[in-house]
Amino acid sequence: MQNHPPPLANLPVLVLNLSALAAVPMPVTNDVLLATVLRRLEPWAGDEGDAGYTLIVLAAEEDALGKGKRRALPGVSWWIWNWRRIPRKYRKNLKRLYIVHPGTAAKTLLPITLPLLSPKSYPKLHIVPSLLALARAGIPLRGVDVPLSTLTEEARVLREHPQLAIPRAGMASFGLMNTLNQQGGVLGGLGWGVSAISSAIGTANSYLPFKLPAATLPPSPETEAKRSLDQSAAEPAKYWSGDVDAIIAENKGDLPRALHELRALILGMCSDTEGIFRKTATSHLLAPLQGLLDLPLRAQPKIDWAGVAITDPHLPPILLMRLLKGLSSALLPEDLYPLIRSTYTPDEIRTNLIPSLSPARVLVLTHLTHIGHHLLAHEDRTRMGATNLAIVIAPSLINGQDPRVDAALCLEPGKSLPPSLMPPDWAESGGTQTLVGLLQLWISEWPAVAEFTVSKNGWCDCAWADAGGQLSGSDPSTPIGMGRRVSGAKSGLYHELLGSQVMSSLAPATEAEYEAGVGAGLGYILNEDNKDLLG
Amino acid sequence: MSARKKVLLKVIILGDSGVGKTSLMNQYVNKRFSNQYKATIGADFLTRELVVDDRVVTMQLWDTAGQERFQSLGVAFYRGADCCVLVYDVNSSKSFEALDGWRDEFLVQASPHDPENFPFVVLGNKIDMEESKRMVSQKRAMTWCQAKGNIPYFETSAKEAINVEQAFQTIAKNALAQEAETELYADYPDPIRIDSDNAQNYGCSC
Repeated sequence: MQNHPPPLANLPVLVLNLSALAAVPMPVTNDVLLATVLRRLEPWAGDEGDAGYTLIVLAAEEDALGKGKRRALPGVSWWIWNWRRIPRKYRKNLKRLYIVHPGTAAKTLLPITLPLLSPKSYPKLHIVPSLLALARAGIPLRGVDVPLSTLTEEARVLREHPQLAIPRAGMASFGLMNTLNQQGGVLGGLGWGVSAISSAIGTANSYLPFKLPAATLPPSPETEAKRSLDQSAAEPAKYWSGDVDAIIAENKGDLPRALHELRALILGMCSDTEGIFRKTATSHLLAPLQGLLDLPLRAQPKIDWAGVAITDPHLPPILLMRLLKGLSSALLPEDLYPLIRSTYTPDEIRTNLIPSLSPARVLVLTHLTHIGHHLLAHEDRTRMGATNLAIVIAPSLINGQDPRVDAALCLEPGKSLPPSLMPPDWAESGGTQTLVGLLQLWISEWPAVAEFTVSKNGWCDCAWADAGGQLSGSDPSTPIGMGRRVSGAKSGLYHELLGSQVMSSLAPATEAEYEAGVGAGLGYILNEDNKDLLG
Repeated sequence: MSARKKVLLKVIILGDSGVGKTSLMNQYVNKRFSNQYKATIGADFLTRELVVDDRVVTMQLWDTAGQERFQSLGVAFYRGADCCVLVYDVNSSKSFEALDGWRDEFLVQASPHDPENFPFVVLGNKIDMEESKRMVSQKRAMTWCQAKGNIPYFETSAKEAINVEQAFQTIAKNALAQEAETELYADYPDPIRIDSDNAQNYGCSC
């Protein structure tokens, strides 16, 4: 196998999502489907002699929700077969073809069929075992819609091959990173991860001969420690193990998109769930989601959150806490413990505690307690009152030297641990307040802390209340989130220009819907997060 | 003599959040099931006296918070444990898959003298829920228990008091056996074990 050349910068990257195609109703024949896809492709494929484009095929078709309701796609080999019938410019201008999560058909047939089709096409083809591997190969996933089917398949792959989840695995070429960057930004300004290319491509390489390398054991603590030592000078390998102040600064003082998305999801779709924030998630999507969110911000894809929440409503809150717990330093630093223990009123939170925290920490903590506050409106269904929420959230916000002190801080006020577990002189060393008591106060009295107005029914009177009410409201069959999901599922194909992402969309259900859908789909995506890029 | 000594058994209950650890303990000790929905903080313990093999023993049941975060307290929690109860919810396969982690965690933190033979008991809780919600089959659970050295397995319902007495009776019995062994070690506080790795392998090691 030859080495995979690095991805090409400044070419449009198109994503073809087979699960969206699989959702197209049966009366539409495969040939119509192909014609439609080609037509959508056309503006980006260019004419002969143009620069060309990159195509990513997300080949995972099935997800837990759509099981059995989907058409059987002809399989990747059918696509390849049709390759010959596709006008020359599409083939000629295709510079890279990445197939992510290939089914068995693709794995076994592709390496055989493709050279027969066109010897020149062969080096263009890259079969990538996982989405994370694709990201590490230098394809920024920003703007790519990740459907549930792809997440499900990613979870399966990561379960079977845990080494794929480890960022920068086997990075021997750290020096290469700088060299490549100096040579004019092979990755179009994406400084991160050049070193990871070699490892990820290595993975892809070994993947080509029909199977993945045998799963290796997770690295021992020693090698992990050694790696983190090696990386200490570089930026953290995982976005969410970074410093909270740096993360907020990178987002120009705002919260990262993921925290907004998780908030909307938790209040909109998970607020009917008993034991929210407390119970373990039941699905396996946690690992791929965390992996994708741990990519550098620029490389993070758009996730089908609604699909995730439908699969497992416990997952969004658990993921949120995972992210916050993983930060390089705990949100509430140890030197604030005495202050926490003597903060008894909302006023004291506002005037004493908040000024002692960095603005970034305040932003995140306010966000978290605000979510908690709006969840209280659903306590009859979640059974999670302010105290319960505080109990399950508190341990993730601190990480002091002495676990006994942290444990004591996570007690309800007035309770105590078995004597052998209490820190010495605890009672004498500070006030009677605990972090749980403080959080309970902050969550239930959120408007008072934030000096926000309270609505008639006692909840904070902000836009979230409306959104939350609306989303979880009267007609559970069509919450707004579902609408998102449907439109998201249809966007099987769209386009992204590296650097300035422009997207159009939609593998249409029918020809008519297709025409109507383009405008709507485009509008939707532009509204989401790219309007700033388009100006 | 040790037979007349008052026996105190320390039993640790581990498992993911919300699988019913506190409820099981409450059902066993107080014969009550509370519909109150309450997350456990840190750790707490309840005691109950019972008779095992004609001996009156006091079982000290340590309830723990299911959150990973408190594992850092493990050493202090687990020290001197005589039995470890692993609880999962039969309606959540994630909570079942987490058992491996909880078991390893316990063995690392408590570092019992003889980890191979340390008594564990696995409880699959919430069997009162409707069958269609069940995610972990009895067979799957039993296969796991067998693979981990024939761990006794019970399917329980703290809510309807199914199998709770039986399960804790077994827990006490196994803990008592462990306690006897611990005392053996306690008599020789610092035993020099030359071939510690092989000392316990009486049978064929296949």
